[in-house]
Amino acid sequence: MSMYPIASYTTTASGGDATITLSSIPATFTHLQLRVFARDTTSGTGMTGGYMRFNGDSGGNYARHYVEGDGASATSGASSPSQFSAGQFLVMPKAGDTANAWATWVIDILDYANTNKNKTMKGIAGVDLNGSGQVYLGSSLWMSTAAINSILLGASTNFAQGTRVDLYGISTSNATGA
Amino acid sequence: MSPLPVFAAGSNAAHGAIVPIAKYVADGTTVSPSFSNIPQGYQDLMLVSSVRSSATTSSLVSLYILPNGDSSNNKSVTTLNGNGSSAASARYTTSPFEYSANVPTQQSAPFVFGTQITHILNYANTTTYKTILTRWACDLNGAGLTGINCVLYPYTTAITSLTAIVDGVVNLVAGTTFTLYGVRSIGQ
Repeated sequence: MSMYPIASYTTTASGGDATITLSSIPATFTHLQLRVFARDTTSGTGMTGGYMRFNGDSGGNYARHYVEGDGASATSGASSPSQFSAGQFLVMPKAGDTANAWATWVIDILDYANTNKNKTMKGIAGVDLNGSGQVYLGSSLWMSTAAINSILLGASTNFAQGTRVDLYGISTSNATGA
Repeated sequence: MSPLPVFAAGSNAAHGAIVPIAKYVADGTTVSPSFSNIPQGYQDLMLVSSVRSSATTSSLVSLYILPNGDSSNNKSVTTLNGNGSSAASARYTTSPFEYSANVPTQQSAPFVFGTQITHILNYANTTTYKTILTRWACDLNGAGLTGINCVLYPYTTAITSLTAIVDGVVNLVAGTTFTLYGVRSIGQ
């Protein structure tokens, strides 16, 4: 199994980006991994969340489950299908939260090019703000068998300047399947 | 938002994104293995480890990862874990160590090592604090713990070294391994 960089994006605009879209994703890999370093421009404190969409689908075709820890208790939740449910465990600091603190997300999308399966993504996400913070183990379902050829990451308001997104393709060996 | 540049097949495409930097294998006599002079040319770091402590306690013990040898009381961590019957979360602030995971000891089920994958994104950036996210697990056939720890290292300094320590600063059992990888992005 080998991983290759497909695309990279850094938010450079001082006002940030409301969405970041990775398009023209080649279908030649077996799995995808997103590695994201993010912060949101939403005013105030208390952290906020992002979301994901695939292939420009803004319909209510996404669902999610998660387990979350906030430093005091652990909770689990789910959501009914909606257009914002994918990736709703993707926590970020708000503009008023601890300066210079950023979220880390590592998201795997398995069999993204398979046209016989609805798509399931799983990920881990975390923010620690020295006195507050959240960590998530989450999953989301996109109820479509279409191969994923684009991924949209959405912010609560905007992704802050310096937000970084890297998309990788994971290949398998034809010989061993490993 | 215009489409992002997609990485085209070319000379760099022949190289995988995950590049091994260094590996440590414990012989049973080392307390705190360290990776120093970490190259600054990757986008992220990924530390993959398999750890067992020589502590004599029967409970799992903590594994800490120190960036840049810094043991000052400035770390904060948010944890989430499950023990087979319930889930819990906790926070530790003003800690001298980066609490990254729980690992078995010599009193745990034989031959069982805890596994951890630690992600340090933007580790070479000098304008942001560092967030260290670890997914870890340890199953002892009847007991166990699995979780995620998120550590804030509140410095904008680039990470140039990583040191591993377990509770009680005792030896790591022979066979403990730490493998450090660089995760390269496009153009790296």
